[in-house]
Amino acid sequence: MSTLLHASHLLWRTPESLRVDDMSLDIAAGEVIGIIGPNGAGKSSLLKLLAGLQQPERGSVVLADKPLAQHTPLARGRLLGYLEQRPVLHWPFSVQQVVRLGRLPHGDGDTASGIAAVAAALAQCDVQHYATRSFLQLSEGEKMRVNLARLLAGEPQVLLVDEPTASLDPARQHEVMALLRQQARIGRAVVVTLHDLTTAARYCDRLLLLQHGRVLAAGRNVDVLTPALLAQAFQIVAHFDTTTSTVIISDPPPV
Amino acid sequence: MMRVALPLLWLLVLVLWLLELAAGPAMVDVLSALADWIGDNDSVARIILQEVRIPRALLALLTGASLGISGAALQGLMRNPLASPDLLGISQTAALLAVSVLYFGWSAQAWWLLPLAALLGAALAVLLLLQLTRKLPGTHALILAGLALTALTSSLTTFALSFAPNPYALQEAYFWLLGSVANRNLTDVWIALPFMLVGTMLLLGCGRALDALSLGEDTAASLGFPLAHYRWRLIIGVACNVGAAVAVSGCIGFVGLIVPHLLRSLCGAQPSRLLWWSMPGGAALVLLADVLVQQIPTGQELQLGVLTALLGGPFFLLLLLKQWSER
Repeated sequence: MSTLLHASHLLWRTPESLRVDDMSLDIAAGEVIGIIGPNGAGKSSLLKLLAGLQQPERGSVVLADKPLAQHTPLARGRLLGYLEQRPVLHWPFSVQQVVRLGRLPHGDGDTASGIAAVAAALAQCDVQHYATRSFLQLSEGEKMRVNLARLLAGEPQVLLVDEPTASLDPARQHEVMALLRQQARIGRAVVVTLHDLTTAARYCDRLLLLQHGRVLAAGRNVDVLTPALLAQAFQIVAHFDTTTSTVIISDPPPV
Repeated sequence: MMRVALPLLWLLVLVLWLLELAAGPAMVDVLSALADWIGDNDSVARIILQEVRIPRALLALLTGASLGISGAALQGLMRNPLASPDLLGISQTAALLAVSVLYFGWSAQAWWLLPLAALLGAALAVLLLLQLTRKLPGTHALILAGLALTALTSSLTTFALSFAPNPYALQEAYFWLLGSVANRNLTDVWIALPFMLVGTMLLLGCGRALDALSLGEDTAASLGFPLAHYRWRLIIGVACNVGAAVAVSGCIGFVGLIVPHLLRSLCGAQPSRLLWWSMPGGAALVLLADVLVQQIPTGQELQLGVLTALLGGPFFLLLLLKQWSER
């Protein structure tokens, strides 16, 4: 598998806190990497650094064998898709209009290739039947699917998705994660931040467990979701059941 | 349908422009005046058309188009349908600097000082608002910031006017501030036109960036449109348009607010498309308003800015109420 995104020794400090401290990560085509950790561990911050939305104080990000800063913004937009934690839409666009925005880095929204990519993305996310509806009137689950369709319409090689399953019911969570897995199957690299440990264990090839802006553990789910690491990161007594791929919490966090 | 609608809007502008040529206190046969002009025959009708009507109609068209596209660009930039050059104090800041140039008599030294001062004032205001809205996001903070800026610059302008050398100069400046395209000449058109063209080109080049901004600053940056790359282009574009419009026609309010809002129901909310539509939309509104001020039987001709404010004030209140009820 070829490495699409390589991040090494990233450091991002703000006057208030250490957001990301010495984090490194390799992402290859065809894999889904899950980033987990308690609130404030640095999951979204890491994603912002990988997306080039924030310049690291130290360290580097290499995208498709070229430092991120050497890509033009539009070239970067074509290679790398980013879906933020709480996507916003400031104007009353239709679903189709939102998905077409995904073609902005290509500048071909009105051409045959752009129209075909938008149609494919709408179909992939199963939102084509409400393409003409107003985005703002959709349910949270429908909005997430449309946002994913917008992401896929850009046909990026690397997908950075920040907590796509938050506020979704279990069935919608499964749909979203299955869609991301399918993207990996067709050769894209997916990095997704997640709160739900079972979802992370079931759908991700590798996990990165963060705490206080640092990588606490990285590797296969069985190596990361150990009782000791879960206790250290989340202050819970829990274990990973490999037969059902479920993280079972046996003791609530201390009050 | 969409493809026909935009040319139709420009056709409406042409019709209103011709109507504007025919409007006015003196009865002028526009066609025979044009024939005199082409045939180089001196006639009263030709002089009225050449010296009075054409400059006025051209300025109404240019001012309207500039304010229309500036309103659309500001609304896209701030992602707020209540953003407009006059409501946010941009026109008033431009007017303050322009009045300062007039007050000190610098405009007599170089013709470009007046539009440049207005342009700098407009740029300063946009910059200030942009910084404020980054610190205090939300519609209400934006309106309050605009209100504060309007109050400050208006009071400073009044302060400057109170030191006018004579009552005539005071009246001149006062009427100029109310907003009008009456009694202008072709020099005014040539002063404003280059700035408006540059500003319009800059704004039209930001269409895709404004579309991307619909998804927020982070997503826009991830799509290849970081706001930092476009912010200055948008600020200078709005400043050129509003500065030039204020320099030659004073503060004509509410055009930048009403036009994009009305057109959204026709062409959709996509900011890039709205830029193209708001030019003819603004031109049509100002031409129509200027034809009306010449037809309303008042002792002295009603100022154009007064009429647009009379139309725009209630419109703004309705918009506010609508936003409130949607919360």
